Amino acid sequence: MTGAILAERTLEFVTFEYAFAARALVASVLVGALCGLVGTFMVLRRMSLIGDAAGHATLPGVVGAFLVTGSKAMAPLLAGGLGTALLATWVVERVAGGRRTRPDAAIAVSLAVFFGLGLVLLSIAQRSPTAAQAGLNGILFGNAAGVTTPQLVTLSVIALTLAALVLALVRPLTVATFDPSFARAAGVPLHLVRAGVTLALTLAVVVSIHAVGVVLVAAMLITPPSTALLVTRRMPSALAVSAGIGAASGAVGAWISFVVDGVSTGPAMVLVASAAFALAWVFAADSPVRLPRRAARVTS
Amino acid sequence: MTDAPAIDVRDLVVRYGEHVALDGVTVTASVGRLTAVVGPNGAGKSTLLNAVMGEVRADRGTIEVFGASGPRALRRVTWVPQRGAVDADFPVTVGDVVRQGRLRHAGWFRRFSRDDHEAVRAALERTDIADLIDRPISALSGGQLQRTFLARALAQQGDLYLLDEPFVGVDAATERAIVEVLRELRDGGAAVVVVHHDLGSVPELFDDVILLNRDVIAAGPVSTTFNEANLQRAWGGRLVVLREPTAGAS
Repeated sequence: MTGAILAERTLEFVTFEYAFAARALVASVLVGALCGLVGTFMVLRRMSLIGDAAGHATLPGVVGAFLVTGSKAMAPLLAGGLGTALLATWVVERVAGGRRTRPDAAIAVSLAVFFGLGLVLLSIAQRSPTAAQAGLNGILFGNAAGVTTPQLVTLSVIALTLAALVLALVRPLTVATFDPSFARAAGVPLHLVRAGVTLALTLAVVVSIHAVGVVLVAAMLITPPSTALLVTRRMPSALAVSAGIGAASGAVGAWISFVVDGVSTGPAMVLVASAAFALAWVFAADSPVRLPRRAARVTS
Repeated sequence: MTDAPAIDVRDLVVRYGEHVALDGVTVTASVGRLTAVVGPNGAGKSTLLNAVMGEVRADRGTIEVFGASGPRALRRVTWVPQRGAVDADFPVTVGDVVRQGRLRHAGWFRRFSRDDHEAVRAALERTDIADLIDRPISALSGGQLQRTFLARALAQQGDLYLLDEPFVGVDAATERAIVEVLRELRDGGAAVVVVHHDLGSVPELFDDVILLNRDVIAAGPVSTTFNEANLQRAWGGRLVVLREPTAGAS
């Protein structure tokens, strides 16, 4: 691609010449910010891999809902994805809670079963003439450009509601994440918090898959928070930086996907987020990479 | 203070799958006393505290705290976790952690009142860490982190303090400071229950002792309960008691 074409397409992108590009940009930014916010609690609770399993497990639900209804209506696809993702996290907790299987193995097994089932259903669904129309092709790797206005409205409502809830409840959420026993004694209903965080996580995954795709949605839940935790020392700044990195990755990812033919939004977003992580990892105050420091860290 | 004991555990059984962690434990802890819970590894010391906290489910038996059971029982309980039990890289400062002690007082949404700020400030000063208020906990020494948890407990102003091995890996100055604070709490009428590892310091530090090995081997005042015969029973005869050649260790 020549520089002239790049400049021309960039101009088209930033001036919202095409409505679909504007929708892609808004969707990607919202998804990035939401995943960054919710993902921070997930990473701090060492639940990153559960997010990965939940992400992959949306596939059979979404495709199954399409096969049953035969339409790309938003509600059944969301409900289907939410159903199987919650089922997968429940399976993980049941299998890992039995003490005979380690949690990492339980997560891997659950991910494989649900994703495998999803791929089987997807190959069946793709024989249907309406599959391409329904945007099922973009479901694996994300196709923000294919996000419709109703989808964008649903995404916006859910993202803003979840973000408002997280910010309103940041005090009990932080205590429950940091020290569950103490939180319980301080009157925080831990079961409710755990169920709420799992539900929020799953909802974030489900509304994100059109933009990021099921394969890489977990990366948007894990990478921006991990980056933020390298460079911040308090919860409010960690949440803000994580959401900011997520949103920026969404914006840049949407732009790359627009200007470079054939690049899906999901991988583009994830690569931008990963680049931010790499920079933070190298330049963070306690990086294992030895760089000249401004000042040594206080460790007394 | 109250008629009911701080902790009243009856016939408590806790199983982890096939493994019986606590087998019919009946024990009390009183207000105005410093109580040590000691026993060999795997004796169920932490399990007992976790059961009181509602962290592990009782398979049988009852647990009452100041005469109440269930979540309501925890209102007056203050928990000081084992240092290793929390993520030391969590993005919080010393001040953030101590302010957590005011969660029940301030609620989930309200701004902190003058009382809340005052309690936090007093707790930081009492534990001698006021100068560390803005330091992230990842940059604390073991002793400083333990003081931070103690300060959070003080800010909470409970009536029952549960501490899981607060003296492990802390410096001598911190140990003395913690002991001093615990004694003040006791003298103020609180009940203090500590899971403790160092048998040598039990007589010096505590009023009562609970010797545990899945079941209660012996419980009561240190002066009458903490003797070699009971220790041997708790450790199943595997304990070697070393005596100092001269008596009168302070």
